[in-house]
This record gives sequence, structure tokens and C-alpha cells, in this order.
Amino acid sequence: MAILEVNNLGKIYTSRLGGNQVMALDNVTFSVEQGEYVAIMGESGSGKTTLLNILAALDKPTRGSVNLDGRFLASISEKEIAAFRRENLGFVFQEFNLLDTFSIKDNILLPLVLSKQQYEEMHQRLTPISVKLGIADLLEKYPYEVSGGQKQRVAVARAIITRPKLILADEPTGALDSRSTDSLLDVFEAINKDGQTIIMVTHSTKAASRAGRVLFIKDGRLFHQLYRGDCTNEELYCKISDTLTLLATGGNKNE
Amino acid sequence: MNNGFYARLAFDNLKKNRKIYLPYILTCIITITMFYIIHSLYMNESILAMHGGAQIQYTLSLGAVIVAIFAIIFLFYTNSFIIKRRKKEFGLFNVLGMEKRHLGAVLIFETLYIGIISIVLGLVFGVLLDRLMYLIIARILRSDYGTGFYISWKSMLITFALFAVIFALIYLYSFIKVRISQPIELLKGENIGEKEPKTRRVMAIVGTVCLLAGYIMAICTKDVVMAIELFFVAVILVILGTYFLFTAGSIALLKWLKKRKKYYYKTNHFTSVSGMTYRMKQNSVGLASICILATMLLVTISTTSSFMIGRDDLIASRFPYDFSAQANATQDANDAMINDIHSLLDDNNLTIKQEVACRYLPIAATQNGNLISMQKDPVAMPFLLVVMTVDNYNNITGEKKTLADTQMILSENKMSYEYDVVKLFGKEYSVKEKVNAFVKDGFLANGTSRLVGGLYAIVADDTELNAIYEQYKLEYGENAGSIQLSYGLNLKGDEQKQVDFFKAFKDILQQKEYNAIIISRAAQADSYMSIYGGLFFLGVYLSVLFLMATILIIYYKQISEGYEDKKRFDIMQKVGMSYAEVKKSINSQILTIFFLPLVTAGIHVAFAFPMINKLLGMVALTNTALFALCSLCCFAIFSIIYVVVYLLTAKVYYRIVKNANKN
Repeated sequence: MAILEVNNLGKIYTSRLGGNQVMALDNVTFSVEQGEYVAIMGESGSGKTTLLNILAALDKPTRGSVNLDGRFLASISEKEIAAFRRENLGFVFQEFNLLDTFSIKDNILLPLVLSKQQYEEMHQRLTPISVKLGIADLLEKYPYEVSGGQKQRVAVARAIITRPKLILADEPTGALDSRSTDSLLDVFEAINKDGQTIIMVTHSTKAASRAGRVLFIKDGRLFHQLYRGDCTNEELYCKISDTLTLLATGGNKNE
Repeated sequence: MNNGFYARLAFDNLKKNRKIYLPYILTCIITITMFYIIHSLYMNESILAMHGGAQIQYTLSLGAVIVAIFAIIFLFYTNSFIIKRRKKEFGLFNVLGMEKRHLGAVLIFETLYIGIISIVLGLVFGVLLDRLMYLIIARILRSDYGTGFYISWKSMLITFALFAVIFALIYLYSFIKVRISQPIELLKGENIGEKEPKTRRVMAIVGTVCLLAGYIMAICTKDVVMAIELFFVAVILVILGTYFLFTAGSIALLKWLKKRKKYYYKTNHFTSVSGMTYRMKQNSVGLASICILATMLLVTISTTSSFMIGRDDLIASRFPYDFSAQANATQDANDAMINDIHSLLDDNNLTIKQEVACRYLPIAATQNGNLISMQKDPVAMPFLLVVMTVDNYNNITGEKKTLADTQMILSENKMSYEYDVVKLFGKEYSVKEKVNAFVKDGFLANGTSRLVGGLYAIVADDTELNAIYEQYKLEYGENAGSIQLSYGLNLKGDEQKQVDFFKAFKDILQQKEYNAIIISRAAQADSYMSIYGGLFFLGVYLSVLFLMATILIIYYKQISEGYEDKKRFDIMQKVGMSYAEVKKSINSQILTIFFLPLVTAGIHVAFAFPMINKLLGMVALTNTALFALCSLCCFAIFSIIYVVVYLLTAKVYYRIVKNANKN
């Protein structure tokens, strides 16, 4: 069953003084199955971030539609949108976006507090997640007291504590060193194994090679996609690498 | 790169940072204006020529010094704040290839622009408003206004010199700050993680105890002596309490709220409690200082304005008669003096409307049951017993009372005597009746009995008074005082004649060596008037300056927090908080920060009220209703200004936060 369906998505930015129009997304169509782990790759300016923003309901498409679990994003009113986001989507950002005024625990609980959960319920959800992500010892600390890798795991915990239908990760390894990157990717893999659907936008071939499927975007279009099939991480890595080379050198032939 | 480039860059910088610089320049202008005005008033000779002008000018000279000191501290403070905010910008210039000395050149031009604009506009406004202030002072002194436009070149020069030096120092400070910092540091500037504050429970408890103790002292003070003794203790306790509670208490409270999970993990409380913890850590000392200063300001302004408005009453009670004398001499000498007064009055064409002469014996005594005796026991609270005759009493009050030899009439002043008989120096008197206070201010040792309690004992006649005096001399020996005379006159005739009479009699007093103190309403009321007026003027003047400072400090604090909040604001929205929710949460926090000092100051003033009211009673301002009204009005005006500034600040704040949201 497809949890996310993206149909003929198009986005045109008009520069402020009128005149110049930039096509950020052009006729993008794909769907994501329940429990899938999808990486979206592309160069800077390829339209990845625009796509992610539209999926996150932070931006509106010019054309086409996004359907999350049977609901069209365009049909959600401005009033509901904040609640919709926090109940259905989980976010992981490149720069963590933790609040420095909250302890780690409170950062994780923030979305639950916003949706007015009971404290007992919050606590019940928090314990297994913090153990699984290896941050159980850090709960009383503050963001500035922990490392980048730990911060990102906290951000993941915050994203999954609401049991969202979909996790959107925007360059989650972008600010991490290689060891932290590995451990974060392990975390993603682990939560994906538990059935969590993940869409991750990334530059990193290594990060993408851990996903189940990789979409390539170039100049606002869906250019190619790779399925893992039976590949190992290393094999997938090579395939992605080849595709990227093709994208950079021979991509224009497709125009 | 030529000089024109730096000049232009400096100008652009100011324009770009106008959100920060406009209020700063405005403050500079107002400070300069206020300094010029107060200094030129101090130099103004037509004020010196007014009645009581000398006292006012003395007050003004003090005021000028205060304004100057204030200007230095305050402008430095705001500038250091601005430099902190602009660190990132300097860092960027630095990275882009400008050397520190180039930055120095830009800073010079910036300071120069600000300095020139502020000093020129400050002096222009100063000269324009100077006349207005002059008229206000003339009104306070009830003097002729005089004509003409007064410009004090000397004051201009001093103002220019003072502020040129201040701006030069500010420049040096900024340059050194920029110079000693590394480009990377400059770039990162303000983004250093804030630690979670520690709970200091002991400090919080001590603060609570201090504050409560101060309040209890203020409320429970019964009389003036106690008020004088306890006033400063109470003030210090309240100041300590305020600081402790703002710093430790607020955080202890917030952390306690955090521990109450059921309360804390609710949408509204969650963000406000942790937001406030963070804000209080940064701002508590500043807020406590603002609170204390606002309290002092309110107290000063409400007392000086009570003096100002109630000054006619004050003068009436300070000078109960047009002319009065306190003599401490033999009866013959006193009679001679009164004769001299009478003849001198005739010489000056003055006639008597009312004449009061009262002989009395003041005794420092203690009470033991119905026995009144001399003060031997050092622990027993002494009171002042004033013995006088019933004829004198009738003379003062216009009544027609009579007494037998063994009878007394009593009048209590701040003490109570419950017995029907009085045993005094071996003789027993029965109390015929008790009468209300009848003695006017400064009369019959009334000033002393305002401090300690007093009992007026009215006896049958001079024989009885003299008999008591003889017994008193026996018992007190060499410590004994003598029978004194209080003499008061109300006169017909204009004030100038009364002044002439007073001066002439002063000479006679010295010539003939009468042992007496004389007071004339016409000759001396002016100096009181100008002391009250001068204090009031200075109080208002400095309050305006201080108010501006408070406002600007809070404004800057809010702006800088706006820049920090914009990140948080963004994150919260990404995590799923709606714009309205974020706005609501932040709004309640700013409101709290803004009005916490004001509300606390109001509470302080309310608790201080009974105590200060008693102290004012000592200087004869007994009109409680007037004082209450003045306090309320001052607080109301203060609050209104505060609210207006809050609204303006909030507007700027939201603009900052909202812009961030769009990016």
C-alpha cells in the first residue's frame, strides 16, 4: 500500500520583481510504500529541498498533488496544518534544530506536549525510544552539552516519538563526522526495520547506499531511480556512484 | 581605499543598523539637552536674583553633576551593548579583508556622525527648551518671569567638552573591543550556548525572609521614632530581598514548576516556563536594578510632589504665627523683650491681630503608674511633660476654663495616660478633664514631643507653676532647665513691612542679648518654598532622565532577545507549533519581563507608604490623602509611559521575529 503518492508535482518560483521564472520542480511523480526507506539525491539546486518542503507542507506546489495516507495536503486548512504536521510527520534537519532552552528530554517531548498528551503517556513512549537510540543517559542534559552525533539522535527521537506516518530527513548527516554518520545511519536502519517509513534527502552517497531505494533528481525532474534489490550496501554504493557520474557528465543527453 | 570610502561606509552602517542606532542617538540627544538645560539654569543669573534662587541653584548644581555622571555610565552601557550586537558585522568586514585599523577608521566616522548629530541637536533643543524650564522654575519660586532669551555660552562650551570627551572614550572602548577580538570570534559573536541556571535555594529563602521582614517593618511601624530607626533597615532588607528573589527566587520557582510534571508538560506552561528560566538568568540582575530604581523614583517623585502641592499647608504649619519667638530667660528679661517688640511694631506701622504668650516648663519625665517622676531609669521610655497655666491655655485656644489648685487638665500627644490622678513631685492632682491637642507647630516644645510622646499638664495659676518649678529644681539639680516662653503674633500689614520689622528686631536681639530664637513667616517662608520647589524640580528632571534610561535598557534587551528568539521561533514552527501559538507564548514572556519590575516597584511603594507617611509627618506633612494621591498619580503616569514603550518595543520585536520566519 502506498503511504505517499506524489503526482505531477510542479513548482515555479517567480522572482520578486516579476519577469524571471524558475522551474524548481517539473512533473515529479513517485510513490512511497508503507515501511519504505527512500533516499532522494541530487546536486545543489536540483529541487530536492523544494520537494521536501512541499512534502512537509511548508510550501505549496504550483501544480500537481501530494497525498499522504489518503489525505491531500492541499486540502488541509492553514489552521490545521501545524497540528497535521506534528501528528503525521517527523523531521530531522541537518542543523539539528534543538531548542537550547530545553533539556534533551524536553526537546524530545516537545511535539507530544504540543499535542496535549498526558505526561504518563509521554514517559511511556520516551523510555524505549531513548534506550534504542542510545541517549537514555543524556536525557537531563542540555543540547550544548552533547556532541553533534548525539544531538542528531535526539532529533531523531523527537521525530519518531509522535509515531509519524512519515519521517522527512533533510541532509541528516550533513553536519556530522564519519563515525557519527555511521551510527546515525544505523539508527535510521533500525527504525526502518521496525516499520517506520523514511524519506531522506542527501548529498552523501554513503548515506543513500543504506536506503532501500534511491531517487535521483536533476533540474527539477525525476531522473532515475535505483532499487536495492539484493545488493549489499557496497554494491548499492557503486551503483549510486555510477549514476551520479552519469548525472554529472551525460545528464544533458536526456534533455 | 580613500577616506571618502570610510565616511560612506560608516554612514551606510548607521543606516543599516538604524533599529539599534536611532534610539541610541535619541538618547544621546536627550541626555545632552538635559545636561545643557540644567547647567545653563545653574549659570542663569536671573534665577539667582529670585527669592530663594540661591537654594534652587545649589540643587541645580548637584543635579548637573548627577546628570553628567549618569550620562557617562549610561552612554557607555548602551554603546557596549551595541558593539556586542555588531560583532558579527565587524567579523565579516574583517574576513572580507578590512584590517583592524580600517575598522577603526570606520568606527571613527560612525562616532563622529553620532557625536556631531547628538551634540548639535542636543544643544539646539537645549536652548529651545531652556526657556520653558526657566519659566517653570520662576513659577515654582512664584517670581516674575523676566524677559528675553537666555543662552549660556559657557554652558554650551562645557556641554560640548563633556560630551566630546564621552564620545572619544566610547570610541576608544569600541575600538579596543574590536581590536582584541579574533575574526572567528567576531563572526560567531553572540552564539555561545547558555547554561541552565543552578537553583540557589538558600539565597531564595533568604531573599523571601528579607523582603517579608522589610514589609512587616514598614507596616508595623507605630511611631516616628520607630520609623526613623527602622527605615534604612527596611530599605536595605527590601533591596536585598528584591535582588535575591529576582535572581535566585525566580529561578527556584521556575525549576519547582518544572519538577511538577503534570503542570510543566502542558502546552502553555511548557514553553513559557523554560523560556522564562532562560530569560530570568540573563536579565534578573538588570530587572532587579530597574525595580529598585523605579521604586526610588516613585518614592522621590511622590514625596517631592506632595511637598510641592502641600507646601502652603506645610508653611502654615511650620509658621503658625506671622512672628514668633522662643525665649529661655527670666520673666523680667522676657517682659522687656515683649515691650521692645511692641514698640518696634509701632515704629513699623504694624498692628497686632492676635497675640499669644505662654510660659511653660518642659520636663523630661517617666511614668510609673500614676506617679510622674524625673527620668532616673535609663531603660524607661521618657516623655516630655509640659506644665503651663490655664490662663495661657485659654489665651491660645480662646476658651474660658478654670481650675482649682489641686486640679489639672491633660492633653495627650502621641501617648496615653489612663489615670484619674497625677502624682507629681509629692503633690497629687485630680484630672479634671482631657482636651485634644491644641498646640501649634514649633510651639511649646511641640517639635520635641513629635519625636517622643508628650503630655501637656495645665495647672491653676502661676503660683502653682512656680511651686512645681521649685520642686523640679530641687529634684533635677544642675540638670534643671528653666521656665520658657513661647510667644506668637499675627499681624496686620504687608509682608515687606513684616520683613523689615523682623530684621530690625534681630538687631535688637543681638544688642540686648535676649536669649531667644525668632521666626518670621514673611522673611523665612521663601527659603522653604524654594527648597521644596527645587527638590521637586530636580526630582522630576532626574526621573525623566532615569525613565528614559530604563526604557532604553529594556528596549535593547528585548531587541537582542528578539534576534535570539527568532531561531527558536523557527524551530518550534518546524516541529509543529503554529504561528499563533508561538506568538502567544512569546508575548506572555515579554509581558512578564517588561512588567515584573513595574509591578514589584508598585508593591514596594505600597508597603513603604505607611512608613514614609509617618516620616513625612515628622516634617509636618500630615496630609495622608494628598500623599496617597500623589503616589497613585505618579505610579499611574509611570505605568502609562511604560505601557506605551512596551507597545512600541513589542512591535519592533515582532518585526524581527517575523522576518526570520520568512527567510
